[in-house]
Amino acid sequence: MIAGPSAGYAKKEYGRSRRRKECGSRVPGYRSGPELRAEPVAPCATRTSSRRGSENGVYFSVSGPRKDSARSHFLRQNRASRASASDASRDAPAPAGGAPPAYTEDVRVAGALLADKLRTLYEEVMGEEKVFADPRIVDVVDKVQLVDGRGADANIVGTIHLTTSHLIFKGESEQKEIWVANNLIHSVERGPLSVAGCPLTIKCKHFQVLHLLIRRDKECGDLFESIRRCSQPLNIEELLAFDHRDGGEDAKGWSRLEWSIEFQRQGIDDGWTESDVNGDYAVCDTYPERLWVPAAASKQILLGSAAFRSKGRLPALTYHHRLSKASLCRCAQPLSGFSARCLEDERLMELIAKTNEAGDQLLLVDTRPMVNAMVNKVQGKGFEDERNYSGMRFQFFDIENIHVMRTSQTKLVEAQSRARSTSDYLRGLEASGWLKHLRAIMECAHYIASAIKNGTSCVVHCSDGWDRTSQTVALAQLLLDPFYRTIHGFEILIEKDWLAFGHKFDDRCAHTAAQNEEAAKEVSPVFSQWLDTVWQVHRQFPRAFQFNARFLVHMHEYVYACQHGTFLGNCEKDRKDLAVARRTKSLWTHFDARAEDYTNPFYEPTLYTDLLALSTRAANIEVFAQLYSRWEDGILPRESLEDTMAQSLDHIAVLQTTIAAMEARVAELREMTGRGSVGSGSCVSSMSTAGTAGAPTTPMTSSTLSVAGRSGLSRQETAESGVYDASLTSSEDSILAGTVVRWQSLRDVDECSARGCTVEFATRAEKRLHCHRCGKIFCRRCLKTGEKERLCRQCGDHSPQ
Amino acid sequence: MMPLNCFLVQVIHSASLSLPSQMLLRLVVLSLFIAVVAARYIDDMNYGELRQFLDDQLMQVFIPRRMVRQEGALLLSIMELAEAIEIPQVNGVFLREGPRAATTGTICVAGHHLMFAPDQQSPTVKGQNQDAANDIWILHRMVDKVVAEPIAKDDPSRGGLLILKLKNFLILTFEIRSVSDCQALFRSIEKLSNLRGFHHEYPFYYRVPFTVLDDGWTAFDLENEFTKLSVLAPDQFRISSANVNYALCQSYPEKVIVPKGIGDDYLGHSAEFREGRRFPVLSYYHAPTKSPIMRCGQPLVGPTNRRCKGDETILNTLLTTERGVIVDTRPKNVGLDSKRKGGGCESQQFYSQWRYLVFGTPRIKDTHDALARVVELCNDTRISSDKFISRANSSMWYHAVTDILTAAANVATLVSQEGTSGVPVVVHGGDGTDSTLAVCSLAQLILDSDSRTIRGFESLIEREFICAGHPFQSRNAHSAYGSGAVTGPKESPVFLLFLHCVYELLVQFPLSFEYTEEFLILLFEHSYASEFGSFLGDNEMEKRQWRVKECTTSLWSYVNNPKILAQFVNANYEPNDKVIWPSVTPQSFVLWRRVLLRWQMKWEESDAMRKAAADAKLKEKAMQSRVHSLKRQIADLTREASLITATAEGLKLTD
Repeated sequence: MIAGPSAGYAKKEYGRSRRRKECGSRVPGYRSGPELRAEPVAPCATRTSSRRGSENGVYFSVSGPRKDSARSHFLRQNRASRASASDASRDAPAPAGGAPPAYTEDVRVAGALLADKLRTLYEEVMGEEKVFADPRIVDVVDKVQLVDGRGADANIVGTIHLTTSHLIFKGESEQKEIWVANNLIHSVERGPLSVAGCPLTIKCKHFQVLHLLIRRDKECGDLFESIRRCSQPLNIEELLAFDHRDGGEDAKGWSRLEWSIEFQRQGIDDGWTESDVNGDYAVCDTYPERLWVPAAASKQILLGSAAFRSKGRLPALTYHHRLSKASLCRCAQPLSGFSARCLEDERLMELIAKTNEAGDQLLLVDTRPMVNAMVNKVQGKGFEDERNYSGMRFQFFDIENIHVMRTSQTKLVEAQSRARSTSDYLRGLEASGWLKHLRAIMECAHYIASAIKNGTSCVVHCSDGWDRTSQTVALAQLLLDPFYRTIHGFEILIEKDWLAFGHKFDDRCAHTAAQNEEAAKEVSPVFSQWLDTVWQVHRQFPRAFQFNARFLVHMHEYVYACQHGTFLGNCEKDRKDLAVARRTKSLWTHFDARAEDYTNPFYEPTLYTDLLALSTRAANIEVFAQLYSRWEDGILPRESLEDTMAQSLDHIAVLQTTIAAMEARVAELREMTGRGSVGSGSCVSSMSTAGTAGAPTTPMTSSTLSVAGRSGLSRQETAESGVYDASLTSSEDSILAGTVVRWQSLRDVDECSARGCTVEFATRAEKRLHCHRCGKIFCRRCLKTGEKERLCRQCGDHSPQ
Repeated sequence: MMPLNCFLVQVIHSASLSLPSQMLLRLVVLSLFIAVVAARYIDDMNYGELRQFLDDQLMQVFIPRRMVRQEGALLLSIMELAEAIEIPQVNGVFLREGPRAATTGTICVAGHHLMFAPDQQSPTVKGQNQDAANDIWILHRMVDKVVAEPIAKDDPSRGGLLILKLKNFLILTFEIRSVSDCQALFRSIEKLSNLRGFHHEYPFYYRVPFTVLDDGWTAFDLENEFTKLSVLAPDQFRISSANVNYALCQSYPEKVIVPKGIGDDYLGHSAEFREGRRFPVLSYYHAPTKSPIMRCGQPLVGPTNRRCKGDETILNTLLTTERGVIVDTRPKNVGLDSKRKGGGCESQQFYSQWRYLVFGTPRIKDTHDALARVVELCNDTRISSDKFISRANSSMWYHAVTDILTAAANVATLVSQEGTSGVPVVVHGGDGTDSTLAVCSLAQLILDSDSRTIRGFESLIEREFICAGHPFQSRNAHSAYGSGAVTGPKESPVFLLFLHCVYELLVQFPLSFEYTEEFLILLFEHSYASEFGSFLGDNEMEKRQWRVKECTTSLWSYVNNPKILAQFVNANYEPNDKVIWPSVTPQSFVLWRRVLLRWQMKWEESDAMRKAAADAKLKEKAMQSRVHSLKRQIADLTREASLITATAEGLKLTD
């Protein structure tokens, strides 16, 4: 199983292929039953009442064509055109939707229907709930209205299927499908009962909000409970990632970060060495097993320093600047209290400073505001005393703690989704303070990066050294090293500074339900915030990054979705204990397979080395609308220059092959007609001569061609008539035959062009991919990416390969 | 080779030796002025040629053709300009802050320009071209505010600071050694930049360095527009010449489009009843739904509840089956307030077939203050994030943009409502010369794909702003920095606000517009100070009085020059003939950084990105046409080949 918006695709694939075999169409709303049942049984079996399909598939639209209110125009354009497009596709002789139910071909389905009916009757009579036969499906509620949050669009009637992995809304109109991984659900709220029905609001961690109207109060209550249960697994092994594991070992994805290779790449010298002091996580269970420390530091010193640092997180190398020889180390706060000192720790700092021959100055950055650090002193923690450490400068930064950040983001999301007037919005934005916090992180990272560039080694810590430290250290490296601005490098950066050094993804993202209030307080969007700061840098230097904003947005979603093992657990040790590498897939493999979605067409690899020209003034920090307003179709720009350019580049590559093939063909034909010696005669001249020569013989061609011995001719003919002769076709000919020169415009494409699919893209920002042959836009599941080209099913079927 | 500025200095020096002072000054101004004109021509002329050239020019310019026509007003003006210049040149000035790196140089003050020429650092390496490119030329008209202050308050010997704040928000700071020079420059520039009177305007002196291929003054003729209209809506409208010689309304053009079947006498009645005598005229006709947008001034209902049957008849002619809509662009309380002062709004009693809707947009005074605040905010580099947002909120500029866009989107919705047809919409505010025009034009941009082409946009500006009587001269006399006695109550950046709204559309639909952001910036700058006459005067009548069309060049003549036009074309433009519905929520508001933060940031990134996207698009297009031509070639060759094979077969058979 794969993740995110596309996760649904793989699943539906199954149902679709079956459906095709059955050569008839079943009732739209009913389809998901048998499909979902076909999946492996999940550990979580929830009992609920089943109302699945009790209407026997009488799913005719109640509301009729969507009627638009005047306001709706603002946020959405030309519903009319979309509607007509869908009409056209329905008129097409495809065996899709609309046809009367015909399920006799599948006895099981019929049986299920009957069983359902009986069960409903039984329930009505006995007033008793029955265990639903399929543990995969938790709840099905039909005739649910999906309400547009802004009141712009009309409600869409459809069915909610809650499975153990996803919440699925399927519109009756066939095109609307919403798939939300259960783990993405943040909260469910019930509203007061009204005439229209029972309102249910589902808020997601990737900021999608579903407003539902359910007919009956009881249905609503059941669904509410089920969603609550499904979205908050108690045990981490219940997560989706452990459920869906197709294919073999995912070695490539799980070995993204090789410490020694990475440090070699950074060009570390003899001053640093790998230490096994943390073997078996003996010293610090939130650190990786292998640490790089100054070569001169004895084990004694390391152990001493670890004992002096909070949670045993001693200073360890994370980045080494090749040119300035300065290094970047990270650790947790010292247990200094008011007077305690540790000679080993002081010695270690000294040694770190000395690894840099250029200067033995050391900059110690505490990312906390001074007040916070002071408070920690009372608890026997705190910060280093400058007097005890030789050659050290000390610097505080005002980055607030996780609790402040959590509240801040909540307020930001509220302002982003609720505010109707400009004053309202700006007031909300100001109250959230989100931009202020972003700026603090960026300023700190910029400070660290400039120091390192200038040859001063830095040691960074906050309280435990896994939140603010990860943010600032990773961002500083992003500013310094172009490698981390590539897709691959960015993944390594996350592996290194977030995963290996123990950012507590489990606790911060609440992968499992918070058991108590204490655990609830551990939740904080620290990683999302870092992604936000990366975007701020990206916005200022769009040409410096190999990835685009979509990469960051999807990254944010996958972190929470838990469909991959990458972000499970609180540290490396947790992941080892859970054996994620064996039992789950890596997110990086998933990203690798979708490289074209995430490639930034503007990327210029050699243009920038460092990004220290970054401006952190207030006017340059903006709301990451692509993330926070991702699901509000109207708010984001309706057209994108980036996607157009990516499309152009894609198309240029295809055209290049086409032109090469055509030129070869022209040369071949020239030779045949005995004009090869003419060489590269101009197109016009050859046209005119060919025209005059060819004119009188046109009636003959069809009869003579069949006997033409030269392969070239018959190839041309077969290609044109669409009949493919296996012995004569080559890939070049097929390119010549079917390639459409003009590709479908990206504008207003909301659904897949495949017949019988026409599924809507999840959002407008989703990448639209063209078939390289017919130039139409398809959803990912209707496209097959080969080695050379990407084809839709139709072109793929016709293709000779 | 001698750089131009050195030459100017020479001219001044030689003149000062031989002539009495008053005459001298005038001559200096003249020759500077000539040099200014000449500077447009010379790129690589050497000194001798330049001298010769200037001599020729001098003879011509003394009594140029245009000045003869203007009855010597311009000559008088030159003398006045000359008197305003207290000090023509100051050497050794240090440019502390400006569009270039800090450097020392010379300031020269000419009749219409202020010039700053950096001292040559390495004359052997840098040629004249290089040097000329480094000069800063500023039209006096572009200067919004001048400030002169001593560098150190207690120590005048350290010299003075001359701060020029321009209407395009650029701020230049010069350090001048002598305080008295600084003061003199200050007085000269302030006087020159605030001179009133048409004959001082630079467009009258400007000679085009290119051949005008497509005269902008005649390019957008109303007759042409009407021809198009009469195809779309036969027998519904007519051109009225009731306003010949601006008899009915001074701020309207002579010819206007009004509903057919309405006599000129009715127009006269209506003019009496409308603010500024602006009777209802056609602004836009939306053919798909057969709904027109009309605009006018507010009705002079007054406290006595006056009515005008003529006016009612005009509006009622537009009605078909549906009720019409009257859109008021004033906030509700302003509308009510103006009733006391003789204005007001159409009463439901007399306009019973019309719905009355209010979409409040900011008044001109509010707009002006909002801009001043937002520019001040953007110039503040040290402000904290929180403060930035809260001051953005109190600036009201964000609100102004969303308000206007909301009103325009509402008008567009009313006009194009699905399922209904023939809903006429009448838009008016107070005077009907500001927000009314902005709302009507934006509605057209949303509805009409033509106006999203360069040509169409030019036509829109010409029709809906220039001819429709947006008082550019008074509104744009000062911009964000202007303050004190030199400013007036009529100043307001309504046009910039409109352009900002267009920019919002551009951001949301970057591929649906044929023109780029740069084009909007060009319009913004030229609307404040220009060498072209398009934005001179408050209306067509004033243009006529001052013979603007005869004596100056239109901005469109310049823009439509293919060479110039190329830089404003959006290579990724894909014609989009649908209605583009903008998002007007505050979340999608984007600050127009390229204007408001233009001088504080670098724009290489966005420029390079646009260029990369354009290159990719052009390459794609070139390859597509290559494929087409190859296809044809292959088809032809195939036919030829088959002929050969066929004859070969035939030969075999006969054998």
